[in-house]
Amino acid sequence: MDIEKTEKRALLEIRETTSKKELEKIKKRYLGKKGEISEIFKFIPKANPEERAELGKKANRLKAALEKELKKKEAELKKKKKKRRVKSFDPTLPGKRSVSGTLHPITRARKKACKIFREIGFSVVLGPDIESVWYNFDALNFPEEHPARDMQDTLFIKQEGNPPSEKRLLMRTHTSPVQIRYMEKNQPPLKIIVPGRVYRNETTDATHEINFYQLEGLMVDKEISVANFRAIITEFVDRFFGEDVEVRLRPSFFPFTEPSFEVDMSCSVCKKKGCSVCSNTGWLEVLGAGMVHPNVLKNAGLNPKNWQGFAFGMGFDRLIMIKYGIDDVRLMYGGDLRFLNQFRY
Amino acid sequence: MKFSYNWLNSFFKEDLPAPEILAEKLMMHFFEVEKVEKMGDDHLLDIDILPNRAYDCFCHIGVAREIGAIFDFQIELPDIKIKRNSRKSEDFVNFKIKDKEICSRYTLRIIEGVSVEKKTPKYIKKRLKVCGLQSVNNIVDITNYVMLETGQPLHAFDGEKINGNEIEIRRAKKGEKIETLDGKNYDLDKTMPIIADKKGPIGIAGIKGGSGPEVDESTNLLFIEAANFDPKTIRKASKKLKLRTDASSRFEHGIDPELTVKASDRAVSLIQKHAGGKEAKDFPDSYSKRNEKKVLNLSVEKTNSLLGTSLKITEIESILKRLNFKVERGNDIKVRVPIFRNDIEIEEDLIEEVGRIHGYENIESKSPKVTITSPEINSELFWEDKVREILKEHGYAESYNYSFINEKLKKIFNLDHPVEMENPVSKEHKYLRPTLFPRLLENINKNKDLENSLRIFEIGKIFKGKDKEEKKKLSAVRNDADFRTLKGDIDCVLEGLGIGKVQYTAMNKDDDLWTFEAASVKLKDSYIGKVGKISPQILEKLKIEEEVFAFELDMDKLIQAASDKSQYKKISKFPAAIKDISVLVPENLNYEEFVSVVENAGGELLVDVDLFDLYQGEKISKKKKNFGVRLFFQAEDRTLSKEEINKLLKKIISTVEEKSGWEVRKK
Repeated sequence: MDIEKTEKRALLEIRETTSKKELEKIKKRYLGKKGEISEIFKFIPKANPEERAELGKKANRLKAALEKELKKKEAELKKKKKKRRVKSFDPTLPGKRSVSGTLHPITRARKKACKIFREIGFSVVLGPDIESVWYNFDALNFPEEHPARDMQDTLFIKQEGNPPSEKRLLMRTHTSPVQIRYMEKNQPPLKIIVPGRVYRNETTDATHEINFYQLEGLMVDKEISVANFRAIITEFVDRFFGEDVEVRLRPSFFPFTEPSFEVDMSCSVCKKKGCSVCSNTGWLEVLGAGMVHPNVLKNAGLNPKNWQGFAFGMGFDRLIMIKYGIDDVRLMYGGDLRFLNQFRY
Repeated sequence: MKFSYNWLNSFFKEDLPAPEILAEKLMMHFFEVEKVEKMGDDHLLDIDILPNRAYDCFCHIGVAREIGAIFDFQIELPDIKIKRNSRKSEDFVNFKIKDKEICSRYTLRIIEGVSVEKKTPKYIKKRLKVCGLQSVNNIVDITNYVMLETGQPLHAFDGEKINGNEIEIRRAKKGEKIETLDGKNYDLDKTMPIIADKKGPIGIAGIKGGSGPEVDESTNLLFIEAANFDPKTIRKASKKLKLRTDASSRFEHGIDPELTVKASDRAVSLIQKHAGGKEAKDFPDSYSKRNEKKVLNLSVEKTNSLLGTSLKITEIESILKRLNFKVERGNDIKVRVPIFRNDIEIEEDLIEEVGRIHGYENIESKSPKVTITSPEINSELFWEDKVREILKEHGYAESYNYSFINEKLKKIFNLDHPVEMENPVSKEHKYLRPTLFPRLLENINKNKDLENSLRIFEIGKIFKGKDKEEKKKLSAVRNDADFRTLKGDIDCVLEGLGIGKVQYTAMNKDDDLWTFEAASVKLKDSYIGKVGKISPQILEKLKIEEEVFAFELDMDKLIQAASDKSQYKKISKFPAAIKDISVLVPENLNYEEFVSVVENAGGELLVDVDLFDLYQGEKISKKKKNFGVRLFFQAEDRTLSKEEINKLLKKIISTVEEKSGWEVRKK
């Protein structure tokens, strides 16, 4: 009886097996009740007494070796089986996501804009939505009973009694009143931005809303110029849109700035080639701005001989619409999740 | 405002550049040209003249002057020739300005022997058409033409149809009425300016002529009125009557009083050329308030400081001269402002002129030289954004709704005296929202077919009460949760704001919005909000079928209480022992009361109590409920022994069982 030979053969057989069934057969053949190893153990008592001990040891070692190899193979085959099952795996099935919410695009854009301005030294300031005629118009150098006030269709609040004109309450038509409120309480140098909701008495359509958002800016110091404004606003627009954008200034009129200008940026959609977004002009009007009118400084208690600066105001909704390619401003205030859920990233 | 390219071109010897190029130049140095459109052999330029330049640029001569300045061209005005007869004006009419506030100048031209015809010279007709005016007859067309050319509205009427040969300018009397040229009737009031004859109103001054003395083909004696009316009076009347005309829009912006004679000269000259007739040898002209001539100083240094340029004095002077300013050199530049530029009042106005004609595109970016100050963090926005992030993490979508509600929502939510708009855009936007819920619940309704689980929140201002107070609120709604889930959401928000414990108490008042399953939230005895189930009656009216739970928190108070001073608490090195107990209690017992009994009994070593089971139902007595709580025992300095823990547990159980109606079921 050559135990070594049996061991070699058995081990080889086990190693070369590829199926569980075959492995079972091998197991039975060697370790079964009538298997080869049982035969060996049955043979031991019949062997020479001097060989018996040695034979017993060898048989036990063989049994252990085979058992070990079988276990190993079984595990291996089990693993293989698992791998085979993987064939039904379909990575294209839709993912199961845990519920995640979204922030409104105006929130996102406002955060981004505030961050950019904060990094160039601007503080963020807020103001009331209900304003008086004084802060919304008079203090901002709008002449009384003048068509300039019609440039911003105003929603007035029904009030009891007959308050004096400057105390009449209205929904602020722009964030500019906060300029006055801030300058009343703070001495230059001033660098602020004011995000906020503003209101117009307008019939709504794809580009007009009864309420929308503005971002106001104000910088007042000893020697602030149009050239400085250009530098700051170019920086902002570049960083907000994340690309090199050209900025151009052209004349305009606002009662609270002198000189006043309209600011256009090169169309980020078509890169100035002309497209439907920019009505084929290559330019998009993004904000109104100017150098703070001396009367505005005076009305807020500052001496225009000592201070000068710029102010600007941008329609935030419009900026967001350009950035995301949104074609109807009303989507912003409709609470439609099909719209809101698109702003996740 | 519409302008004819050919007409503008006619003021110059030189040819103007092509319409598109001209438009581009105007946009960069004057105002935006909104449209360029070919019309026959002419082009329409639609220029957005802003209110500051309406005074001098609501007309072709004004815009031509600007073009002259931009291109450095000389402008040439048409020749004027007038034929007169020997009759005196007073033989035809007397007029009186009864209210000088209404009218600072009134010029009346009297032409005898005109022939009114439908036919108008072609060039006039064409130019009027480009500017959007229909041809009526030669006289009306010429008055319109002169208005578009000079900016001075003119009014022509039939001198023989004036009653009593008397004209007065006054405010209307109570009850006076007028039928205007287009056949419409208006009731006038005491604030409205009118032109009247012996019988009554023949025109609403500066706004529209009356049908009484209308010019027609039988007219022989023609009166041409060129007046300067008070902008505010015209504006108020035009608003009240809801009647805006080419004339009223010019008057309400104000026009140069010097124009009445210049424009009427031009009109008489054109009328005589195309409709014949002779003017009386004099014309009445009452001129009560002349504009003062303005002289301003302009500092070169200030100009360059404000613009950020380094322009030379000669460059600045040259620009000003092109704009018809007269300059003299002193320490600064002494600038005489032309009478037609009423918008120029201060030095900065002149700097704007220099800046725009020089061209803003020629001003290079320069970083500001300023003191470095570090920006302040806006704590209101900081905390608001923190709340937004937390709710987003919990699956809420952020909504921005209108600040307005309509009558229907006001009724459904039974909202008392919301702040009302005096001039709402539409019925939809009549009131300011006194709560965020109406629109948020509409959001739920709008999206109900989209997803099973809807969670929506908004942070926004609400408006309340007599004082028109505005407050910031945080409101959230969801259709996939119960009371405790919402409370959990609130906990997360408060945790993120570093706000400690708040108290929840069942609302004892009947409330329209909430069901009984709702509580008010208090922070240190100050009310900060509500949480609970929305009333099914309200939901039904909004056509929402499923249950909606919601909460509302006072953002202002949260921000006040928020704090980012969180402190690290040491983690004990020694293991915690966990024991569960189950206690049967009366159904009306609050969990908080229950826990405080357990906590008091457990003492310092009982570090936490968690509710893991709440049962009420068939398996237990009707008026009972069961709290299953997990108790955590832990010491900071040692591992607790079995004996210690059991002793504590026993103490808790015996304390609990002392309470009447409390019964420990499982230990």
